[in-house]
Amino acid sequence: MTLFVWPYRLLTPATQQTVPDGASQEAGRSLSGWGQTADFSGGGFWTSTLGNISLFDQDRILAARAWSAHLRGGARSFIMPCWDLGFAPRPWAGGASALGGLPALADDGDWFGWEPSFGEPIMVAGLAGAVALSGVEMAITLTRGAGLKAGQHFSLHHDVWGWRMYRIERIVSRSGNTAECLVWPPGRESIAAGASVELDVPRCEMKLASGQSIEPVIRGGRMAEAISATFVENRPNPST
Amino acid sequence: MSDFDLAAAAQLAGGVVRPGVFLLIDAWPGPLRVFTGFGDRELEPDAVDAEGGIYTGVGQLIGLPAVSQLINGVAQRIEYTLPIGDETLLALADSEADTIRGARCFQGFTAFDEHWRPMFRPLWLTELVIDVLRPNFAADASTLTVSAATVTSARRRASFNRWTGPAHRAAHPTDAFCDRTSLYAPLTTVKWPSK
Repeated sequence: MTLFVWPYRLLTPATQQTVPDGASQEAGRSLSGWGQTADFSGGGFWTSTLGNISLFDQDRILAARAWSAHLRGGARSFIMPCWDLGFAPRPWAGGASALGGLPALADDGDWFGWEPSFGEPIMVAGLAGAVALSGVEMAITLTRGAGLKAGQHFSLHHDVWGWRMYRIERIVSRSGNTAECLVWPPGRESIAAGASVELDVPRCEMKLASGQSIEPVIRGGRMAEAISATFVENRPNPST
Repeated sequence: MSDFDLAAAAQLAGGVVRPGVFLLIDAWPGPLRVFTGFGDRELEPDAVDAEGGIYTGVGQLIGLPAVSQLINGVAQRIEYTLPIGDETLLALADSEADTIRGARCFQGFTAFDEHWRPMFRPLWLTELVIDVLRPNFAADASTLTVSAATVTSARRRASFNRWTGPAHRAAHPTDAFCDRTSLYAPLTTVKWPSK
């Protein structure tokens, strides 16, 4: 089943915080005051909080209601985009943005194989080598874009796990347009060399976190207050 | 992957440890492999898991009980609570419970390095037998409680274990280590099954 993508342009958050999360415990302080930390996360998972989603007209209120019904309190997954374009390796030439050299927007009938499909990607990249399950080192080759930097996000589309987002923790080495990156989280699934690396709109399969809701609170029968919610990365569920 | 060594021991004594607990349930039609953590992990074959395989990260073992290794043969019962998010676990909770009763359950432990790679082959701490499955379906979180016990836990005086040949053979069919135990107890003779 194809998962729906969060309608970022309709339900636009004022803030988005995407956090690597997991469970760790302090073992308690010893007599000397020192304590050990145990990280049980096994690598952790993503959480994303969308803050102050303004519902200033009827369309947005209805969209929030529809999505509230669709998400089913966290029982259904969807694709959460991480709008990181301001920090992405956008093409840069001569001290200025090189976006002017991009192809023009396409016709309505053109299909670009990713959602939402309205034009060619700004950045084009692929894996230079295969990545094993739980692998943390990925070599990425950019054919259009600036050099990768630590802290940037990208996504890979896996066969079973679908869209998963990764953050570059450190650039280990560079060779031409290829950067050897240390990433987090560990690879969700093995993926072959040459797989496309999504940099324009990194995205991840998520669900509504436990206890969260995006149900709008209606005031006066016409308006609604802004909503905020936290989402958590979800495991793939082949049966849905 | 190496066995537990001094480097691993030094890592476990450090300020941050990254433990991972693995469960291997030897059930039909195939072993059930789960581990604490979110993503999946692949382990190499070893003496316990002869085929190796991918351990599904079920997110967490809800309520990981303390495990005592069988020192001096103390019998014990352990309950694991797993979230029913995996299709296999859901099937076990719903209709396939009979396939898992009597299955062997191994609990192992390893630690990950800073790049989340296992530092050593899992130390399989205990081997138990599953006898009770208890699904708990709730609106917010459904779980499956798996109750497993040592081979002599069903005995009336389960707190005491005896090193009899039949008891040892029940867990280790090809090991004759305790076959002649009765010859070394001149004042008492323990018969199997005993009350």
